[in-house]
Amino acid sequence: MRRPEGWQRAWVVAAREIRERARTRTFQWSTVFAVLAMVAIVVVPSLGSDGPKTYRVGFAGTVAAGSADAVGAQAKAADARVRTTVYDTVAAGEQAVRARKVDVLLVDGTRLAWRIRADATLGALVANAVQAVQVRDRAAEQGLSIAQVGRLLAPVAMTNDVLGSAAGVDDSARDVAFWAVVLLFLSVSIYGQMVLTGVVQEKQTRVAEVMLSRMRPRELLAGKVLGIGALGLAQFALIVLTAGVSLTAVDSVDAPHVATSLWVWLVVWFVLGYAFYSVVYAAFGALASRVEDASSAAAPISIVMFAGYLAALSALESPDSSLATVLSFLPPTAPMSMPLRMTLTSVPVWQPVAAALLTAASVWLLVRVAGRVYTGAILRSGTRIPLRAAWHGGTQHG
Amino acid sequence: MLELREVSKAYGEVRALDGCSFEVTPGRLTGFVGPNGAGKTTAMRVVFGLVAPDEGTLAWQGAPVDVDVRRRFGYMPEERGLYPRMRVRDQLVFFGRLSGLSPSAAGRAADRWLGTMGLADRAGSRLDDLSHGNQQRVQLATALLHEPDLVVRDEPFSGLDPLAMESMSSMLREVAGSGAAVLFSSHQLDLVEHLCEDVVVIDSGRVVLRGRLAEMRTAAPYRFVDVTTHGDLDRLLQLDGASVAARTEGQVRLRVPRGVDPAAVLQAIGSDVERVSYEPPTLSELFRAAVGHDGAGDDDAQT
Repeated sequence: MRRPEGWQRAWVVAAREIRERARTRTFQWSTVFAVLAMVAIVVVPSLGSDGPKTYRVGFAGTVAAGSADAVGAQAKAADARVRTTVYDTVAAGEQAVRARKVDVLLVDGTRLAWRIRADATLGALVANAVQAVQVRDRAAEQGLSIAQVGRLLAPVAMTNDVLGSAAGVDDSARDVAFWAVVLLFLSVSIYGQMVLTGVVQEKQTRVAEVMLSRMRPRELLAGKVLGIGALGLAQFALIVLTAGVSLTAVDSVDAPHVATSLWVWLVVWFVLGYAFYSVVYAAFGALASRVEDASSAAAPISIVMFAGYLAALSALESPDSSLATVLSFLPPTAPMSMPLRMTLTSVPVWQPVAAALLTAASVWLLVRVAGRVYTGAILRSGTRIPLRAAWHGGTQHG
Repeated sequence: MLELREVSKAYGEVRALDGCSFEVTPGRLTGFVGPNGAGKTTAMRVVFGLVAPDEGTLAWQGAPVDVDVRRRFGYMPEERGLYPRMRVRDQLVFFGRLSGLSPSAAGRAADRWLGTMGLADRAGSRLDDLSHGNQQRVQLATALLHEPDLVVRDEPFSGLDPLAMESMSSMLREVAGSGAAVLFSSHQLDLVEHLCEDVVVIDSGRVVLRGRLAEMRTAAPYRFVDVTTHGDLDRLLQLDGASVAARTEGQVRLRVPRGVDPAAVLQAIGSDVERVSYEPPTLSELFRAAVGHDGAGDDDAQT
């Protein structure tokens, strides 16, 4: 396709694919569902988590000076936030507890009032603060200055270190890797199948003949793959964006930290995976003659993709094994295995770049091979066109 | 003018086209007839580059046919060739764009053709929801949208009711009248005879008869005499070179050599006669004579 008119015709085909498919209910609902599901996957686990929580503590009766600050300091050391309120009377404070305006009320520095039951963490936090205030006051009585006391009682800041379960693999990173592989597999497979059925449908309804009387097979193939791919890319990018935005919004201790570069890589791997599989699907689609036969005709490639998916998932526990490393470079499996490894372990930058280039090169080759088979088969009728016949027929057109 | 010269195409052992030559002239309707499996569809597909011939040449206005030339052609296969679930107007615009029309020109052409075909109110319907006749109209509109120089339709009349047939006929006539070359295949020989100036008869991949229908009929070396009479037919049957083509009680269709004097025929008929006609063979008769068999039992189309 070296001429601009060829690309123009391919664009007309691509634009039709995008418009017709984007207006189907299936596409619209699946997009809405996928986005909601992604939000749910990210948000739901963090709902029950004890992330940076804000405690509301009320004071009533006799309040020792500096109590609120002491509670704040304790909370900070425990990686939580605190909001304090001082009530004029005990009754007003207790009313606030019942109305859930505060989580606990400290009365006279000696009694904790709860609404239904005591929260051990918060109770300990407040008790420590009260203790600290009392120690400070007693120390002052012994003649120590405020600054000295402050230094004496400065809370120790703890750093948090997540050790994870499997050797070197962080639980949350594994969640990300799992969902990334599932999302890549589903997206590439759904859009690849769309190319498959689209090609067979055009053949079965003889639309392909009408189109090919006006354009070259390669132009039609390019338009079809690019149009469906553009739609798939938009949907995939939207889902990835949703995941990124929800993770940022949740900001919980349990929510994994995912580097921006990984999001970009996911999109790149979708594009490469789709390109790899869709052109093969197109060729297999052209070999079939009825939509009913399409899936069985395309079984070889579907099996390869599914095996790649299982292999990628099996590497969840051992992303550093040599098998996982090899799989992450092979073009049929790289689009799933490489992002998995990138999420789980530190992979040198040259590796994904090399794997992506390798996959891109194989796509370049496949476009030629699959394009020739497609060309040789798309206009031939008969139940199932032998691959060999299509290959030899592919030189006569286009 | 479209010219096919000695075009051959074999699928394995089956010779779908075997030195097939014919032409289609602008401004005229050409009927393409032949038994099932004779190679009609294959020949049409060769014209549109959908089948690469093993041998032979294809020319339009004397020049070889490539993709750019084909963009000035309009083709519709017998079955559909349209997206079943796509809206009618979108479909027309899409095919118009593929033929090189700009988006606005394709839109205008689509609206104009929908108006012409009486389908303006169905513009937003899915093709599937239209009747068979209306789907055929949309097909024709799709082939005509870009005002092609050559229009080829495979079986445009199949499955149409008499009214839809009439309107399809007049549309095809109009297209030819506007200067395009029109080729269509059909099994309805009476219709082809009625509609077409040119006819191509193909059998087993070879063109067995082609040219202007009127000339072919006159050129036939025999005539038919139809007689309905109450009298005696014996003298008639003994005419030199005469043979009975069909006979029922009181009626006979007689085949006589062209050289026979019509006056002698009349004389032989006698006086007690209801109706007499003397005419050249119909397309049906030319077809049967050329094909040499009735075409039955040859249903395996090798396309």
